[in-house]
Amino acid sequence: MKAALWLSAWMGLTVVPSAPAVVERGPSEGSPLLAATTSASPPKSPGAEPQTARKAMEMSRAALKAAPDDARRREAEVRLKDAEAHFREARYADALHKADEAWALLNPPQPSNFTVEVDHDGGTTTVTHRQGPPVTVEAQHATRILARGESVRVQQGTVLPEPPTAPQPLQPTDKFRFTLKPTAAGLLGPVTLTWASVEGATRYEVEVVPEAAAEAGAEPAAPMRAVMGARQWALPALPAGRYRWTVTAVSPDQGRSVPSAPRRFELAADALELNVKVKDGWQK
Amino acid sequence: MNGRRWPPLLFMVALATLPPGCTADEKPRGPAEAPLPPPVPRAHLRGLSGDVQIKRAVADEWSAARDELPLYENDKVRTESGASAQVVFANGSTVHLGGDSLVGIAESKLRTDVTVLRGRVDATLEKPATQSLSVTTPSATVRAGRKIEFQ
Repeated sequence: MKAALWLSAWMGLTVVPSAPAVVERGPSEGSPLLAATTSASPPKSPGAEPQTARKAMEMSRAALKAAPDDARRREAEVRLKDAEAHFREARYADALHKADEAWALLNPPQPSNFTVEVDHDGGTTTVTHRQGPPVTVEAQHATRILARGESVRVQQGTVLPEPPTAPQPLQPTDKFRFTLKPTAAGLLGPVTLTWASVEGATRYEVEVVPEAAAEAGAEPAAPMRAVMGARQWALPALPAGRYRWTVTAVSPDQGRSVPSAPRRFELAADALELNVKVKDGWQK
Repeated sequence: MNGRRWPPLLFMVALATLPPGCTADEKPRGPAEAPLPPPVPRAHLRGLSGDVQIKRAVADEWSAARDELPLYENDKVRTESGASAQVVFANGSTVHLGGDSLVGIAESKLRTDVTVLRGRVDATLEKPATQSLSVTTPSATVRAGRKIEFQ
């Protein structure tokens, strides 16, 4: 048969367990330890096979440490031991393959979820990617990849529009520390976030994520989100702490931009003014 | 002389009556001798809620759908306003139909699984490393999961 079939490399950032060449991994939402490790990964190099295998084993070991003690972990442990045995025998490709298998067992890919909406006359399609590996959208022989949170609207017979550019955050400047008097409820404010306009955008999605609680090892507080028509958001009064925020431009024709580069700010309570009335007889 | 001409002429006439592509030993296959294999469902309907209807590829009329109904190539499913249903494909990928939607099950020879003609669908692949799903609309094609390429 003249037809040939092959399964192409996995489209997203997830690792292919059977692909020994894949070592660099995208950040895993369920594994901050690995995400941190990944950022330090050296680039792939065809001539660096022992180093590549060693790095893959290091990452799998780190994932193993963080994994709960269950059947999947035990299976991964076996694969990692196999990888180490291969490495000792200088079978680096096999070591890499087994280390990848261990990593994949500990980091199962997320489900993929996306929405397709077709208007009543069938002329317009809106695709929104919600979760998991990216999806591709093809129209008029052009292809675009949609990552998490991105969307695109396609008119029948037209080419795929480019997404809007990410908005540029303006105020507050990065890592700005607000020192504010607490409200009666002990909250701090007001803080207003502002950003530059983006051509074609009709609204902006803003996300503010409390950071301090997560750093202290406590349950992270839920992020706050708002959709604004204006280029600013006056936040409600918030507890003291550090916050990270991003803004995404949304265009009805071009879809959503990627989120802006994150900005951080800190809210601190102004020093308390203590007025202590002391009875004369108590003072020495 | 005439007696010598007849045998080759008869042979040529006999050859001409054979169907093309057959040898003398073969006979053309009739439908009775080699019945077509039963069609394999591409998906099943599940989780029906409200007024959900189906139109078979060979039918002219819409009829009420029911849970676990097998769906074949070119069947269509529609939901009325407020209704919903799930189309679950053989590989486990799922397309959730919202209200006032119309979808068609694509032919397997095409590189797509479902065609959305109207409304909103939410597609889910629980194991995108091993599953794939392709959704086509009048203006675009969306592909998710493991990509399969043909040349």
